[in-house]
Amino acid sequence: MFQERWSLETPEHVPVEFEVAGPMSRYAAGLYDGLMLFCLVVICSLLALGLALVFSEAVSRDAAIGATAAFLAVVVFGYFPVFEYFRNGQTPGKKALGIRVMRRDMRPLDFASVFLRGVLRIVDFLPGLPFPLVGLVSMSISRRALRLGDLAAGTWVVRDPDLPPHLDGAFFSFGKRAVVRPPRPRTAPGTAAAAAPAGEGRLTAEEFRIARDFVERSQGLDPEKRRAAAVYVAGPILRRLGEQRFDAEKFLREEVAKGPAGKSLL
Amino acid sequence: MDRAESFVRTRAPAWTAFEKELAGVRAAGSVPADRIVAFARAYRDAAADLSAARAMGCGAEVSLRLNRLVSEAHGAVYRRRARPSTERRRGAAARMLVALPRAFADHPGTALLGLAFFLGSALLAGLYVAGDERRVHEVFPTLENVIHPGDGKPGEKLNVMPATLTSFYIVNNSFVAMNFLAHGILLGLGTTWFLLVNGSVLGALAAHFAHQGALHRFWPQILPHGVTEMLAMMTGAQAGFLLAKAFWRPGEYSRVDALALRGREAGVLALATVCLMVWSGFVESYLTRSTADDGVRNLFAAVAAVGVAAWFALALRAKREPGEGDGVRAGART
Repeated sequence: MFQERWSLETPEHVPVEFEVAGPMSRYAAGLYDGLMLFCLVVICSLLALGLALVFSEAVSRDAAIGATAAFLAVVVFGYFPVFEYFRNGQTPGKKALGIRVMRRDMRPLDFASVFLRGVLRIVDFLPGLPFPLVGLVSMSISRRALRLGDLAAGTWVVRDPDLPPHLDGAFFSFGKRAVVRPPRPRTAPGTAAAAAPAGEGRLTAEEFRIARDFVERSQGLDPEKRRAAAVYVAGPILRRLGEQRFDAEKFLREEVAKGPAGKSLL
Repeated sequence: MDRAESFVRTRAPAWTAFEKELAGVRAAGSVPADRIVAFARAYRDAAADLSAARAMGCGAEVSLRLNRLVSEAHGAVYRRRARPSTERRRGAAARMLVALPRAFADHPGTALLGLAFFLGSALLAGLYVAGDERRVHEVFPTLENVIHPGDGKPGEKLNVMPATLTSFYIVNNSFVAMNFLAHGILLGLGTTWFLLVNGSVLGALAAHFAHQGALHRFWPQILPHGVTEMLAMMTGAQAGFLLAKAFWRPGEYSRVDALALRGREAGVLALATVCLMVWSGFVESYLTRSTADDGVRNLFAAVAAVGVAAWFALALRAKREPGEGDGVRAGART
């Protein structure tokens, strides 16, 4: 089973943690890209047909068919490598899901790597099914959610440090991420909620519910994971309140004890 | 105020400023040219701060903030160059030209294994069909649609136009070669299977032509494009066996790291394979399937073979760059 967070060392010898993109978010990105690719092929075909009709006297039928077929092949086979290479590891689908391809040695992506991981899709899609059965199995049993293409190309897929706001909820979260990452607060620092007097509950009902869930459920977690989860939960709340606290877990316990905004549990 | 808190208060404005700059870089897609030095310095400072924050126990919130900052900035600092210089582009092309011959020279075992599977299956299939000519349809059921041992020129039998045919050959043959490569990851068994199938077809066809007394017509229909196409297929197989070698003989690396290491070589070979297939696609549709004389075809095949031999000889004589061939550091072990 894949592990959510991995640490890699930068060339400056500083370990940096990355969050691995799970099999389902990658599959969702793949579906998005598949749809994009289908639309692209349809548009290109219609465009080629239009051009062939307009220039039917100047260009032979053979040349038109040959050029169109070659162009479509380049579009289909080049979609993933070209986007991943030129868009810093992100196809449109990956960008929408807030994930990107990186090399596991943290060097810049090179074309040979992205081309190879594209070629290995042939095996990831075995045995000829419309979904990557081998790839999904490989991702599910790999601790870093690597499909065969990632294994051979020395790459992996990680989450961007910040998800796009419209996906920062639970819709694509699948499982534990939905618990540890609350929806981004809608209010900015300095607003009424942030200015609530100390000593009274300052959390919105939604924040309070998530913080209380954390406090109730976090007892069984090992300390390191509990701290990391506390930071996920407390981070957006602290940003909204415009505060900085060293102990996120303690902060959450204190706030849960105070109750939601406008109420006091004491 | 303790040391950690003082550290955070002192450094926080710099982090906020860097976060704002990163947001701008994210929107623009790259670091502005006039900010590169300052941006790299800010990145190194943030990396040092992350290390210090962990050492001082500044808390998870600070560490996470800096971790995000450094990981995103790393992607901007170490991203691929937006516009590689002409010199770098030429360097990349030159590396690809020498990579293919060197892959065969550096791993002669896998190259010979591929050749042995292909030629061995061709020989066995040839002997099988030679025993009874009707067996050719067992090995190659679509024979009649593809090639004919009769006296007519092959181009006359085909009602397909050359440009269309070129696209078909390039796409189809590249896909076949990519299968050779990709299935190498299944411990090499997939690559072996594809070599056996394709070798059998070639052997059965040769025996079929021989049985019809038309072997002199066979080679001119195969060799003009076959010289580069065979090389491309062997290159794909070589790449596939390199991936398999990472499993069977990982050497001093873990299998995962060995696979990433061999994968880098295989990726370059995959690109070379496609280039070769594009060339052979043009030759096959415009020369092999044309009404050109057999003499012209044979001459073209001979020139192509000499060209390939010269390419290999020159590439293998070229000096290696420092560090080349020593292996690339595979994925970081975490």
